[in-house]
Amino acid sequence: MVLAISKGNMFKGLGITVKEIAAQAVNIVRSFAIGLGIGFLPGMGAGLSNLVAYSSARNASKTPEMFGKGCPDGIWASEVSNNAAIGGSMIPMAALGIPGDSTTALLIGALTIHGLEMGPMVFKNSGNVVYLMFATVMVCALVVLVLQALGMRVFPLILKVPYHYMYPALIIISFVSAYVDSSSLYKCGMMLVFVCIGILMSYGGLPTAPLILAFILGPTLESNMLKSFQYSGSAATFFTRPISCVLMIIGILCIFSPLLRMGMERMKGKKGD
Amino acid sequence: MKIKRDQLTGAVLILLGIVVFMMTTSFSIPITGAYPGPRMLPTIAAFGFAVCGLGILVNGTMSKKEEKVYMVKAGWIRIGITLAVIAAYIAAMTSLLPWGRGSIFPCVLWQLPWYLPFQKGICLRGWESR
Repeated sequence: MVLAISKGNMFKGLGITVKEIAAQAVNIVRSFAIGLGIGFLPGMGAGLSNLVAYSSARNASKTPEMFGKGCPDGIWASEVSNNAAIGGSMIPMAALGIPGDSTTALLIGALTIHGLEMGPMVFKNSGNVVYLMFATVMVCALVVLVLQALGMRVFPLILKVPYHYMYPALIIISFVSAYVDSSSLYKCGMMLVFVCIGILMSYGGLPTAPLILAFILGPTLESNMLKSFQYSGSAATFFTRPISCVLMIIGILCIFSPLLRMGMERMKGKKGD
Repeated sequence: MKIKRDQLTGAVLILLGIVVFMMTTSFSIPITGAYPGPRMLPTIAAFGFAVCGLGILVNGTMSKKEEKVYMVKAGWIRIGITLAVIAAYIAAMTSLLPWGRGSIFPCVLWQLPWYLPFQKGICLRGWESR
């Protein structure tokens, strides 16, 4: 075994060598930091971290022209940041009760059903559950490492399964998930309704992740907003406190930014003429 | 004149905002500075729907970009078949076959014959499916 390690062939037969992993050390650390940072931001999730880490790896590479042609640096960057974002998104989830992405939003929903309210008090009220979650994430990382190392050559074969066999399997998994929660077919019916809503949203180009975030954060937002009104007696308090004011301005700008951008583009066009 | 997808989306969102606002009027507790009550957040949501809908509608109307086809007719038919198959299964499990609830095999057997014709690939959004 020592001989095998010294030759960099410990993983021979698994599709990767120690030498290859060592060559990606800087890329791994950079992508990990990007994934963790973006995962921490509410609503961003793994989708954005993939792109940012990939772009960073391409910018740092000596051969950026090889990206998009099977260059391993790009795959390492996007996959490392993807996994790091999961850990990052759990930080605001546990500490603030704000989901980092749609997965943690669903996790918060599941924990709420079981009577656990995420937020600063969760460490005091249900500390054992939080530390259990952190421990689970660490164990999961090891399990995933072993499974991926062993199944690296097998898992891509799932993409070769024809869709008409894949659909029933996926639908059954969805059915079982909806059914086991309450042993009621009512939730399967609700699942079907939300499938239709999802299709309509996709047709209209509306992303579904903000809807899930709003569904999870809605009650917290409403109760805290009512508390703020009761403490201050007017809506002005949201604009007189500096942090709140900045966040409100950002929110308002986000809503009106497409209209502002369109107006600016038209003005530029007129100036150009 | 062909209606663009963005125009339709914007109009639906504005309509949704109006409906939500109409529904908020059923709350008996009025919005006051000291206690805005349960009516406040749905009113903000209705305003948000209407503003975003208006933005999408205006953007869609002003944009000169040609819209890509979301899905061809054959794709919509497949979605319709899939939804009908699932709805029929839920209806059957609810009323006709209560003894089969929770069992997976009837679900597989019911779905497969419907999805087998899907093995013939069709072009849904401009790329070839398998």
